[in-house]
Amino acid sequence: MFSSMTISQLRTLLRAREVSAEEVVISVFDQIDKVEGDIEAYVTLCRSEALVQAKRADALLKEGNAPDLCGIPIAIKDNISTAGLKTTCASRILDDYVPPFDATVVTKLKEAGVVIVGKTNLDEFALGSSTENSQFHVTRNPWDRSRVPGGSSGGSAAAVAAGEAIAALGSDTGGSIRQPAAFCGIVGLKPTYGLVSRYGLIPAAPSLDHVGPLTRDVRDAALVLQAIAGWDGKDPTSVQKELPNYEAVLSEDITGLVVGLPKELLDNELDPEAKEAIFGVANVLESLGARVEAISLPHAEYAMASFYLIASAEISSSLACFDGVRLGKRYGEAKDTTSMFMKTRGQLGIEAKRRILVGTAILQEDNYTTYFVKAQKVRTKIREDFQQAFGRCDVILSPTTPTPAFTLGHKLDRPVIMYKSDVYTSLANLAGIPALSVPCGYTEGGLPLGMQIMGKPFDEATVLKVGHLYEQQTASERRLPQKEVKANG
Amino acid sequence: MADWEVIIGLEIHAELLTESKVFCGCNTEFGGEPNSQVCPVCMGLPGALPVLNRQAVELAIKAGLALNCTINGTSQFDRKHYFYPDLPKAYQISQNDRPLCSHGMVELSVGDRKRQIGIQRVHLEEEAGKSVHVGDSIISSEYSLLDYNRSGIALVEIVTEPDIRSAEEARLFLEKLKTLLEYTEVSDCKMEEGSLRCDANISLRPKGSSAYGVKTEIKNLNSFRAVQRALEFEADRQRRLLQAKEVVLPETRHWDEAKGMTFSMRSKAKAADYRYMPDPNLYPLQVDEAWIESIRQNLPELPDAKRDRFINDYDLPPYDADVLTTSRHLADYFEACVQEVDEPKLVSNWVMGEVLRWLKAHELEIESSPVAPKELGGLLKLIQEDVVSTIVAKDVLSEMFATGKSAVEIVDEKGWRQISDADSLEAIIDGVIAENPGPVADFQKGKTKAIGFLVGQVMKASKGQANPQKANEMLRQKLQK
Amino acid sequence: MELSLKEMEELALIARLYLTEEEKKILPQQISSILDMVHSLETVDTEDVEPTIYPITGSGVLREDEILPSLAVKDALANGPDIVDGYFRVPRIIEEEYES
Repeated sequence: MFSSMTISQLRTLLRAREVSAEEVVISVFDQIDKVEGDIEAYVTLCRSEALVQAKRADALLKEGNAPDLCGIPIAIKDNISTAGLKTTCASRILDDYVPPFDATVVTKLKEAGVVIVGKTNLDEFALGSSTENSQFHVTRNPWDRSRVPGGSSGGSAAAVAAGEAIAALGSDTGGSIRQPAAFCGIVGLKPTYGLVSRYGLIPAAPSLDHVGPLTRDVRDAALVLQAIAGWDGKDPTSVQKELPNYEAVLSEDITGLVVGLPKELLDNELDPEAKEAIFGVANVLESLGARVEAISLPHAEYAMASFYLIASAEISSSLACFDGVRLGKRYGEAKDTTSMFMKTRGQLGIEAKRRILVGTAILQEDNYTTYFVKAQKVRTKIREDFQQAFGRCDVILSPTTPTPAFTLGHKLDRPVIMYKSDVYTSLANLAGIPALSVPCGYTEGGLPLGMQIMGKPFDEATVLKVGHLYEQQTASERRLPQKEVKANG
Repeated sequence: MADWEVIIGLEIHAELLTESKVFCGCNTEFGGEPNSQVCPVCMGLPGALPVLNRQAVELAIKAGLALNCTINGTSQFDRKHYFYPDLPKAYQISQNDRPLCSHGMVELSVGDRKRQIGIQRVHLEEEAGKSVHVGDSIISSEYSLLDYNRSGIALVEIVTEPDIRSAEEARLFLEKLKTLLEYTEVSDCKMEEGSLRCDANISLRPKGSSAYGVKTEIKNLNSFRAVQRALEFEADRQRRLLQAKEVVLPETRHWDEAKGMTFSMRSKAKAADYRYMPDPNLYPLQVDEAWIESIRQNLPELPDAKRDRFINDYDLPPYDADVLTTSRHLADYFEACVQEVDEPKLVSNWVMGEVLRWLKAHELEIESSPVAPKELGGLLKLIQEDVVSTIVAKDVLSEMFATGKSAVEIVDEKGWRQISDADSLEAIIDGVIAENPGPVADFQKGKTKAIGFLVGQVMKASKGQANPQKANEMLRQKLQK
Repeated sequence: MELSLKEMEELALIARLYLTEEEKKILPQQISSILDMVHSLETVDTEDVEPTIYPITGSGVLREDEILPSLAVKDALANGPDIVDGYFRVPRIIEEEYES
């Protein structure tokens, strides 16, 4: 049905008037009615508004000058601000917050004609790797409902994988787009820092936060990226650059392209099936004319520590504004402001509290240099590693995650172990470089595995091209999760 | 008393005269309806991002140049964290390690001595919102109301070196600073609207010692006079403690204007840790030499230079030059008037005297004077040409203020032209001589003082319009015959 | 760094976070272990290395000093939990540290 199609397939049908946007939206909501009870990907659904938007899209399609994504049903992670539509960050503190403004990416998607299906679940304030830190409900992996969809963009990934949206926006601070994409067998792209505006993304760690697409295939990721990328005067870290046509470059070949395989990311801690899958990918890319070379990222092992210390410091600062004065819910009786602040902020989940306390500790004058500045200096070493590596290769290939999706409740009590699953992904956040997760096979148990393709800053074109060619080459092996859902249910 | 040296450093916050706020486009105009000049950025709504206002940078650089600072090519914005309901993000965007301007100096005249006060830094930051306390005071009120219209207005914080040695010097420094910021149109410096605020640090040490004593910080200083009084009080308080071999506590003290004393607000034993960090949303501010140079070129003449020029070019006494250059508008008024009447000292006397007196009585600034410099010039010309006497001229000016008419119009309407022609005067003088035989006889006997009485009688008979000098001359001639 | 309960409570006060009894039980150890991750960084030679504050080298954009429309007052106040006469209302403001 339409709900399981890609943007590019639907675009053709919609333009040819073989299907209406309304029918597509209805198909998506039918699927939601079928599976949402199991998956719980959404925090808020916008059924009636979506139908209104679909009718408007149909009018434009009829006129024949419809924008690129006209009529495509898209889900938005609930930490991306939507004017007039609740934006909760899956936090009790914000459970009735209605932003008076749209995030720039939302404005751009609206201009591109999309239909917003709803707002998806996440780990509270995007802090987590399983979506279990949502204060509202747990989201399940469409491939196996006893497993997590990954996080923090778990709702977005699960929605796309389960046919509850054609594509979704997520945010990625340390892997929050790519890891759930890998766990849910879909494509996820974290663009270069500064390529996509962060205006309206409720921040976790501003120097690590990115907005990007979660889609069914690489072409769709290119299409959504095209719509959301570009300079934004409201984001002071946004970069002014001429954008390529990301879809057009997909068809170029990769003969002579050098793929780097970093030895540090293929070590023994890696799940054997995941390792196997990456070597399989390398073979496919070689068969397509690429050259595969062993490279080194000598400081990769320090990424986790550097990442968590920097992220925690920034998170403690970003989340300070939730004080119950101007927005959000105030909890408990308080006779004075300090008590009001503490009771209101006391509603935050334990992961948020953990990060805030760590961040508060390391920003104190006595610890600042030994913890925070040290972590920032190691970040510099990691960036330099990439600069050196990209002197030798065009893209770097690694697994997206060391393991496939883990079971619900598995790692919640052991934060440091949980954080380890971000090892591969957080590197690209520290370095600000583009990184794409593409499905690259399945475990024996039938769970999807993901590979990560990292590229030079602002070279999304090459990253997407490699992902797309691999995908084309292995198309016959792609599976759909919906079958598994049915098989299990 | 002479055993102790007073060490004072000041921290001044001045709101910059930008149209819009420092990181967003909201209007900065004073006095709007509560929460009507706010947006996601200055309300600290999550996801909104700051975009720096070029004019705020330019004004901060101007301030730095006026204070003889080095303008740093690269400066950094930092987050200063603390929880307070008027601070929307729970951090203030400020500059900590790398301010925009540093190492400046202001020269003061204290009595006939010159004193140099070092400026440690001038940095850019954002203003907080306003809290209105319901009840008598912040302590007794049960709740407070928040208005974020002021939140995000551009501020400079100016920090002096601990170079100030008396409460009087502190006041003189602030007056000088205000003059500089007004001249350069960096800030309107209205303490009553909070656009200029000052905190003071003060400590005492034995004369000759080079180590600093324990300092206290004084807040709630709402006027220059309050700064001086509070520092005098605090210096005295600390001196008495030290002489009694007691300790001065490092604390923040609140100035109570009505009681004329400072009292303790909170102990600073554990210094606040603001958890500064560079703001990851704001790249370092780069200011190139060309930009600084163009700002420097466009700086107006600063008060010291203007004062010297007034002394040299107009031959004014230093006192006059000082007073006239306290405000750029006053100096401009004076110079515009001199364009009309080429007698600077005459202009200076009138501007400093009658004009300022009238304006002060009517609580007006020189720039809103109902009598324009050109009009005042018109009046002074009448004095120069003996058309009116100085005494009558004062009445004319009053009329000018009241009616907005020109001096000539008023003089003609009222028939106040001075009588200088010999024929008219002679008739009056003859009458006075006839009516005052006594004084006339006295004068002729050699009591020369009697002439004063007779001139007075002439003035009285002429309703003040007689030219007194002429009258004097003619009387003498007649009586000596 | 072994964080004591007292030290953690101090941090929680600075961060204005009320902690439940259960959180007080488990958090000190967890926070210590996260802070201890810094030890793994000690072997990295970072002498003369500049800290990375921003992932890419950018230059700040400056905005012209132009007034843009503000929010309508009702939109500005719409999310406030306690609104009185067009203001956000809060209980008595105190600066002293909170005694629980």
